[in-house]
Amino acid sequence: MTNALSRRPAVLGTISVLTALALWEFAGRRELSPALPPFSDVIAAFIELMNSDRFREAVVATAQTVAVTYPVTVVVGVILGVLMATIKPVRWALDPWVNLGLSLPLVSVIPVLIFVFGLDSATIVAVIVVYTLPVLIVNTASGVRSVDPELISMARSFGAGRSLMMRRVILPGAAPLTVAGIRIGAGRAIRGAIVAEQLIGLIGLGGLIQRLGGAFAVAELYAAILFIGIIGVVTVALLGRMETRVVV
Amino acid sequence: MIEISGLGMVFEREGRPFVAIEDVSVDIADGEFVSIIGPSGCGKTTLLKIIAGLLRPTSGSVAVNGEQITGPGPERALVFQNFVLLPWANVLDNAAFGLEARGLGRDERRAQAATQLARVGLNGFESHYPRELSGGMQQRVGIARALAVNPDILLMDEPFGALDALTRQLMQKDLLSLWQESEPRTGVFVTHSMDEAVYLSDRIVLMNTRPGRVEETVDVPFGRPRNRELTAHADYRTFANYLSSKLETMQRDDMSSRNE
Repeated sequence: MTNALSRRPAVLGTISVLTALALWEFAGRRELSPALPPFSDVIAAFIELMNSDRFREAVVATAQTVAVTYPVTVVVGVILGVLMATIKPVRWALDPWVNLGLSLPLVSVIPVLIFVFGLDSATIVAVIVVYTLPVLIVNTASGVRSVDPELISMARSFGAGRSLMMRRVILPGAAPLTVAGIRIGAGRAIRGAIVAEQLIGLIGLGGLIQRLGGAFAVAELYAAILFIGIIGVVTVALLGRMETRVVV
Repeated sequence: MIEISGLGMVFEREGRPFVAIEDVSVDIADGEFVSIIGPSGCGKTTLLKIIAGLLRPTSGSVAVNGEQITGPGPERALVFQNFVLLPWANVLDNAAFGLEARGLGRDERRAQAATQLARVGLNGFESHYPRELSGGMQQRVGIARALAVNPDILLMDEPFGALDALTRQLMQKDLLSLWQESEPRTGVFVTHSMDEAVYLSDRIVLMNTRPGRVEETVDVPFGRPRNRELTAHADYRTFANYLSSKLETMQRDDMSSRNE
């Protein structure tokens, strides 16, 4: 009984996706619109795409940029977040920039970054940093501020030094919100990279999508989008599992 | 020896100064167990936090062994009302926290913490997490953590205030025997319960409210070692009742003066 209940979201989710795909296949076969090829065509394109060199190159380019840039950004963001929460002048100095970074629409910043960094992966790196750093900073800082002040008093009463206070009290206490920030940031890193590549139009998965769209290769376009969607969902789910392990 | 002289603490509360305690002077001898008791808002916890070095008084001073304190020190350890254990550390690491702060190596601090855990009756629970323990057991970890650093002075801020009556009684009994069996040390114990204060202490400091101040200091006329039988004794009841009614009068006066 409980088992069936706890599985219900997954069951309903599967039914909902399958129904939508069936409708898609049906509508595609009736050739209602050139924008809607049958889902089976998309699957065929997906398999073909996965085996093509240009797709692999595009995926590797994007994945490399994200996999190198994002972890470094995480480290920088967590350090800045801790500093921001613990040192007031740092907070005053960073606050306006973080807020600006959180509210600026990505698409309007990218042209500036292209202008500064050129039409290659340096821009993608910059986009990932600009798009994820504020989230990482804000989450880490609120994590640090959420640490129970009594725990800090306790550590102080036993004469804990700065390093022990960080390792044993502040960082573990800040971990749940920090990891949530890392998860949200990972999604943003992937999105940011692809959007930037699309605007540049030459490199990575985003560039490939841009070219497929330009060539009206609709089924391939759907296949590429499907791939990005799957990667995004899997990444965020994996980080989500890490998050539940951290939350005490 | 703890010398508290002319201690005052003024907080800012809603933009206005609020006198938490005023001109508190008490001397506590080495090896003495002193309870501080009084109605809510008499500043007893503030006083204890100043002695612990967690709060800086706005006037007056506290000297420990002849030296004026400026912050927490290795000769003092604090037991908290809400236990204040690290939720992400197991019982052993929690009990070893004070030793870790003193820079002891891992094996050494774990061995010492385990000894203290055994003393408070928690052997076998070393790898449990605080959330898996009852309140009483969590406070035993808090007491073991404080004892592990072998302080001259043990400061306790309503350590049994968050526990149910039965657990509370058991904890009092265990604290008393722990106290009487171990090497002599000074105890400062903040409480709401007069029975608890009489049962455990050599001396009781009665505090009053607005401003928080010492109303009276009373010697407890019962020798040691003590045990639970003492509480059944007529003299104990008379003494505890007398002080309780005194406390009650103070609380009533405070309520009626608030109405004015």
